[in-house]
Amino acid sequence: MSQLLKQPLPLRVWLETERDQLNQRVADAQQKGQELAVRLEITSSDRSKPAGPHDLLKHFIAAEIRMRQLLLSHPAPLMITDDEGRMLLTNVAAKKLLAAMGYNFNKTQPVYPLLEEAFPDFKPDQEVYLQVDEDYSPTGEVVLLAKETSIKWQETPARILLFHDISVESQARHKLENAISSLEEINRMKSEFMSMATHEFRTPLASIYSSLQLMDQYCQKLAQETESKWLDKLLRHVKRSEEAIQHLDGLVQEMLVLEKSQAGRTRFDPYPVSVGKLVEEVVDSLTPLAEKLELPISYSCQLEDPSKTYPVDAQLIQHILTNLLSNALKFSTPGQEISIQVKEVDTWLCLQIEDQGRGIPAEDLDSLGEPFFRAGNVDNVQGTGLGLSIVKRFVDLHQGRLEITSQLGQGSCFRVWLPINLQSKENEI
Amino acid sequence: MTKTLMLVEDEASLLDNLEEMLELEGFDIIKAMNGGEALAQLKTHQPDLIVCDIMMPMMDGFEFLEKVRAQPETASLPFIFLTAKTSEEDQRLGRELGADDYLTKPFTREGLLKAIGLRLGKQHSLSHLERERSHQSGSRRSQAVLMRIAAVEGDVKTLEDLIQEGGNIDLLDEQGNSALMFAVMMRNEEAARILLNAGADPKLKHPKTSLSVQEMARTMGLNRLAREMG
Repeated sequence: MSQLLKQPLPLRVWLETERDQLNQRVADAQQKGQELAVRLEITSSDRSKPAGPHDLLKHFIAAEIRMRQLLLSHPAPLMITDDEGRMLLTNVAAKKLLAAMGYNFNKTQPVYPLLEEAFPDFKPDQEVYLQVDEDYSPTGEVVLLAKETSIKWQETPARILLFHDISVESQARHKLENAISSLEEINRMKSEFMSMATHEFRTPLASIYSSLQLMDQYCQKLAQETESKWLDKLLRHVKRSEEAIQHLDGLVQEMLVLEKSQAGRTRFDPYPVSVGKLVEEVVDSLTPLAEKLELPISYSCQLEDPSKTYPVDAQLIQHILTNLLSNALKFSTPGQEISIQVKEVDTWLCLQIEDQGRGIPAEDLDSLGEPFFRAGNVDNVQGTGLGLSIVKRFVDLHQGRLEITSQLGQGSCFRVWLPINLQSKENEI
Repeated sequence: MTKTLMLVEDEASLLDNLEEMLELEGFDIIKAMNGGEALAQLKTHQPDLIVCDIMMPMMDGFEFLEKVRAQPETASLPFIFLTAKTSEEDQRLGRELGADDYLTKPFTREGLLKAIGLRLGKQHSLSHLERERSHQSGSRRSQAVLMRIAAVEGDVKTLEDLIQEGGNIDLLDEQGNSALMFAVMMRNEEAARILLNAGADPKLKHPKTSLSVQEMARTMGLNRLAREMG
């Protein structure tokens, strides 16, 4: 096979080709440089000429100096370290911090500590507590939060560390934590005081109450033997005092229940309970009182299966119902009907207690349920103003809600909505 | 026969009132102002029932109850706490230590008398059952007596076997007690449920206290059981 050998170019032609190519590249570079100068808004010292490579170089050097200046004068301590923790660059704030920590830099031959030596507990995004001199911080301590970013520094892997001084925030947080724990302590003392005070109340109450009950009996015995107009008066005062003691005891009792529920110490054990039956029981227990007050109670269970069970805490529901029903009895006058309904609406069980009593003024509706609040029209009906706030808390424990509607002079309607799907502790009793 | 009650209470005026109130009902009274004093009294006196406060100096009610239950001669004595401590934990502790009832201050006269009547009634019924048990021995024991004994002892297995044999589950003893009454009086809830499921009547009235079985259960604090009887 024959091979055609290429003839070498004559030297002159080769040189011309090379020169043309070089000229082309210079022209391209100038073109790109000018475009860059326009984009970066760099102008030539001689305004009539477009910016040349010399202007560009001057600009970049100036920018580099500015960036370094910025880095060095940044108010937060900043340092660049290599992988071994050697400090490659520290800004003024970092030097000031290191000096405050007791490191002494010899100006001619400064020796910087290794990162782990200066900051043994250092971890990115975590607080670092440092001892410093009092010129740096009057408390002698600073709390810093370090941010870290990996970079390349002069072709080798390195990291930038930026420290934020969070001493003020940290101090504020400590103050807040101290305030919270002292509040918790006060709250615990309040609970203890409440339980002690109620106990101390109860013993003399028991003495007074038993004396009154004895006086009551003696009055009755006396009435069998003798007739006196003073006897009736005496008995009336004994009865009145007995009622006052019962009221006082009710107040103590309710304060304890409320305190317990506020402190989160109320036991909440939802089990499947036949709510229909439970309501019936509460109605039965209050029927003698209702009959005495001539207030007919009607109970209608609108559940498909009246014995169906729902996940509720029987004791708390009993308390809720007794309280709402007693309220209905208290605020009705003879002949007015009280109706109780139990029904299912979607995923809710609704217990409704409706009366035809005096009703609640519209402006008081929102405040009902606040401890010790009583509506403006309660007059002389006895009560503590705690009952409804307890009811509200017990309903909350069931993740339910309490709905109150009322028309002044027409009556009130209390609806307790309880979720049917609440997680119960047992499937069967 | 007059019953004797022991009252243990550190508040002198309340102790006197209690004494007065119960003497009016015809009881004999022994008084003590703390657990230690009461224990000393028990060496020479044998009350039929104890009513006791919890928070007292020297020896509190819980400790006193423990000591009462530890001595064979007083181990089964009806014991009622009458206290200002109302927490559920205290009530549970009291019952665990073997108190029969737990009344809170201030108490009503009716409530106190009802509790005392119920506990004395229980004691009376139990001692009658004990007599029945000792009079009839071996195969001569009637099925009804055996059932009442099983209800008292909470012997569920025997109770189920006896129910299987058939017969009147509500056959009353001479005092008018049914097996279900005994199960409730002794707080044997499981035994009570077995009897209820087998058809025992919760509406029967306990003659000594004139309470129905359901009311007895409620008085004893067995609320869930009482509800199931509804």
